[in-house]
Amino acid sequence: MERKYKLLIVDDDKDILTEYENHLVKQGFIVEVAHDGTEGLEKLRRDSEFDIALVDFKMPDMNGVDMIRQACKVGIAADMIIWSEPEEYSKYDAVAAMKLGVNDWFEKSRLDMPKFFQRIKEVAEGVSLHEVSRILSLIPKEELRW
Amino acid sequence: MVNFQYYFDANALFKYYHDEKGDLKIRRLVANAKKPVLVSSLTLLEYFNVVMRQRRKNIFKNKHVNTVFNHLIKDARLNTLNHPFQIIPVSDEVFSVAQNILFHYALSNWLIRCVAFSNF
Repeated sequence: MERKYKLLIVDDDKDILTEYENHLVKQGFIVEVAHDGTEGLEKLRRDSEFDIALVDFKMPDMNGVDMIRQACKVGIAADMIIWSEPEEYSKYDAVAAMKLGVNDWFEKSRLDMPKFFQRIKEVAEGVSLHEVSRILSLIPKEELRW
Repeated sequence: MVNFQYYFDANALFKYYHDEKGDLKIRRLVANAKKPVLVSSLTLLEYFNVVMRQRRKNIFKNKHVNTVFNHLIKDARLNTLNHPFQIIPVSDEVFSVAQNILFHYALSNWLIRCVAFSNF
């Protein structure tokens, strides 16, 4: 079956949601949107199909790092990317995001669109099947009798 | 047209990820399937067991284990529409029965070996 990646955009800016939803649908993603952190968390909790979430850092109810922290606590498996304006965050926020395993952080006003979409695809796909296969080839043959 | 869904046992699941005889056929089958391939949660357990055994033997490092597991988590979900594998959960009762069969099999094999030894 054709593998399609499901993505959630969490952002309180409706124009951004509409614009990037359209862009990412054209890139072949199944896209859903959430208008704040609470709605984003709820959608991720209810639907385990999401491969990746693109989370705004500055939102009215909670910031993106706090949302992702809560998502980690309840065992949500989706990969995460944060995006923000450059002046909205400090290096401490970026370090906190790294510790939570956030895959990348982009600045909205400096986006290089092709690179941005390429990175989203890479994160959604994760490690290649070839890499997994290479690791599994380390297993001795006699261990693989089923 | 017949609307069917494939089911993979641990051997087939492993062949999907591991370069060995039959892997291309299995990968092609998954790529061309109209619906996600069904995999029992017990099968996942078998797969995890093989991987963790390599960690205990120090053949795999933690990062190898993480890579393999993360990839599987990305590929297999409950009630999936967009992922290659769909996990069929089993109830506690089924799990318990499977556990008993496993113990019984291991025990009977052990007894057979004991009897064989005593005949020497």
